[in-house]
Amino acid sequence: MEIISKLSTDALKISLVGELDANGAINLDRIIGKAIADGYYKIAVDCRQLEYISSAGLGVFISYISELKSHNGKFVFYHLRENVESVFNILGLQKVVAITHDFSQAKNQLHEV
Amino acid sequence: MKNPVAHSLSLTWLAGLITFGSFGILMLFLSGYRAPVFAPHLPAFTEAVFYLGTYFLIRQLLAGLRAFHITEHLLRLSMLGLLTLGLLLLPDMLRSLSSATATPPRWILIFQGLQSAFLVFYFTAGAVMGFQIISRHRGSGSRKALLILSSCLIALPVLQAWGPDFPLLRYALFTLAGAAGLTLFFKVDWLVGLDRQVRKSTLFYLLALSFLSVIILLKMLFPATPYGLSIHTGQSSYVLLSAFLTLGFSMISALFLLFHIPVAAILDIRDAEKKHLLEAGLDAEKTLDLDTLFDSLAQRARSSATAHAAWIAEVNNEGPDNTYPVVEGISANDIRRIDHSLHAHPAHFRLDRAKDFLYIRDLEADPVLGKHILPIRSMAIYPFSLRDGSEWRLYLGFEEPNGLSEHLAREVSHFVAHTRLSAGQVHSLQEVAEKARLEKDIAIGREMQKRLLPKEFPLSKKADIAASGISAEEIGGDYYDCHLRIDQSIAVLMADVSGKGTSAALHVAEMKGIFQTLMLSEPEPEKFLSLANRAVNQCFDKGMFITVLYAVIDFNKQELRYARGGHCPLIHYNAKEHKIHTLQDDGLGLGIISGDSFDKTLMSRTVKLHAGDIIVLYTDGIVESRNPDGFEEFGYERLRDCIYLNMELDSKSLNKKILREVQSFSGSDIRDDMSLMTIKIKATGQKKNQR
Repeated sequence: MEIISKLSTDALKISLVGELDANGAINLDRIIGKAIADGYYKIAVDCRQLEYISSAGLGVFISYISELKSHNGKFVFYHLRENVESVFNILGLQKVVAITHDFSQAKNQLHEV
Repeated sequence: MKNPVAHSLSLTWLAGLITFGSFGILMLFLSGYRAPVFAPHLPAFTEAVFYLGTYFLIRQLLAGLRAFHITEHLLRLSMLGLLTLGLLLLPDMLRSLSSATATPPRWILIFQGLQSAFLVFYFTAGAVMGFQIISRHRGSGSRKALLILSSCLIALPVLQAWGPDFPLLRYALFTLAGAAGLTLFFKVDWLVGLDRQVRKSTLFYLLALSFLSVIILLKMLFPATPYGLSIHTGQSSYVLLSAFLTLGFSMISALFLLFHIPVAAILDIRDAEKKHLLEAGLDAEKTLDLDTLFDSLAQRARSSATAHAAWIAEVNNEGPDNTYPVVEGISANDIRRIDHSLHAHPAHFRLDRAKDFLYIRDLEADPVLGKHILPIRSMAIYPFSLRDGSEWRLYLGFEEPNGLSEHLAREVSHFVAHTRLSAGQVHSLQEVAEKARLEKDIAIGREMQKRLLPKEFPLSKKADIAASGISAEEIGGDYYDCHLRIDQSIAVLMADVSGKGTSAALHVAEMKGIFQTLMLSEPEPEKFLSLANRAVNQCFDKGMFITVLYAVIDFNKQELRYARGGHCPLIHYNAKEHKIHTLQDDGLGLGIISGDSFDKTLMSRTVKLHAGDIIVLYTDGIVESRNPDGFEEFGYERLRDCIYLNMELDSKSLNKKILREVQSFSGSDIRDDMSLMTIKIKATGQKKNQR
């Protein structure tokens, strides 16, 4: 499940809740696709309540990385649980997306170009 | 009454009546009003002609009464009696003609012989027929009555032919037969099942039969009139009985039929409805798609409501749809005009809650639709929804105003309701078919996955290599391979494609092609990943990625060189230090970023190998498998411990041991594929050199 809230004219916060599996990935893809179409290129992803993320879930974020980058935007993930962070690290995603500790750091990261 | 058989039969009957009537009038004329030339001989002659005429007439009538069951047999029997009597009377007549001579001439004796022979025939035929009746109606309540009646009908002419008259016995037989016949009069159930076409002609025949028997009865009861018959007492009882029975059967049946016809009309409608519904049901069983179902609905509704046009359209809020699955008897242009009008005035065409359809009795009088010139004058609209939430309408158009009668409207409602049910069935069937298809897909994917993985590993004296895995319910994207290089070093690969299902299996197949091609050129790990990433970026969709771990076990240099592309870290047991390491270095999955940026992230590492070292490659299915509560993952710690504690086992057994351990931890719920490859170093190159 995802909860979306606007941060500014081009920034958005998505809170992920529970498990993000292949089914959830389809929904997430729709949400992010729409957000980008609406001009939100800076996306903070709150992972506080994210219990598990599947490869399909990661795939959704990965597929939009280059598009956000071309619009000077990015994903910033924060509040990752240990197991989720380990998945990010093993895959090497920390090199491609920003991972921060909390929301205030995430906001700062979001507006750094 | 379009039945040609009934028609010709009634004509025959009319011809018979005219012949018979004119003959009778002629006889009356000859006997009554003129000084009769053949006066003394006439009664017998008239009677004979009367009986024979009646026989042939009734024969014709009977042919029209195909539905007779009990009555048919009884009437046949009485007919046979009439024929017998007619023939019996002929010798009498002839005798009376030649009464001048004292001794009868020879030809009269021949006739008398024929008479006896015919009686024997009648008796036999009667007995056979009686037996037929009884055997056919075995078990029915009227069996006893039938038995008595047919015995009496046989016995009476036999008694008469006997010669001496036994009035008491005759009356007894008469009464008995009459009583038995009376119980059978009311067996009229055969009339209920009569086909609509035959019903009216049957009534006609029954009335004719009653009329005929009334004439016979009148003639017999009033023998003194010029129309009367003079019959001997012996014969008269038989004729009287036959006439009485015929009258009883035909009169009561005719009356019943007369009152039954209006009821039957309603029953016919019901029957037709049932038949249509049954056919619709049978259709639904045969059809697997909505198109055919709608087609059959429109056709049935159109034919049963005798509508000029019928069509079906989907209703949506966005406006009238221009696609109509079924159109009968009206142009698409007209439909579009009607649809646009309906859509423009939703309030005007709102459905009455009490009814399940909207009825526009006169389109020309309608303020909205009256503007158009349409080929139809009245229209009925039946809205219905399907289980998938779609809204539809069945339209029926009639050439006249008030084209739809009430009971036909009801019938169409039944069709619509039935189509909804059938559509539900179609949906369920489609769901079942879809599920079956998916299961088949999964089976194919699994089979594919199984074939893609190597069954055998290169045999090496220096290493013991084994791989095994467990499939999850849903197909995963695990892949591993092993390649013996020219310099006797071994390249091993463990990979996992993101996503699940058949598409993952397909991607594994593509990836296998890429990997195997690359492995043939024997690149070093870093080069391998770089090339693989380029290939993956070109071949695969965005968002698809592959984690891979590629390692080269070089026995000559006694080292392990590897690169990690976002895959689970390699586990290395160092036999010399007696320590176990998880070799987690930087590395990014393939397909995430493009060529050059990816290459910058690449790192290759080299680890010294010793005899007794163990290298374990695995997929995330193992470390990420969770306990039944879902709170705890199997994790790297448990995996390392398991390897450490079982390092004495050979590679194959170690793999099995680890998989068993994971399964006992996670229970039966396997969420992801688990794959595992173990390489145990038996000897390093140096030892070989020493040897």
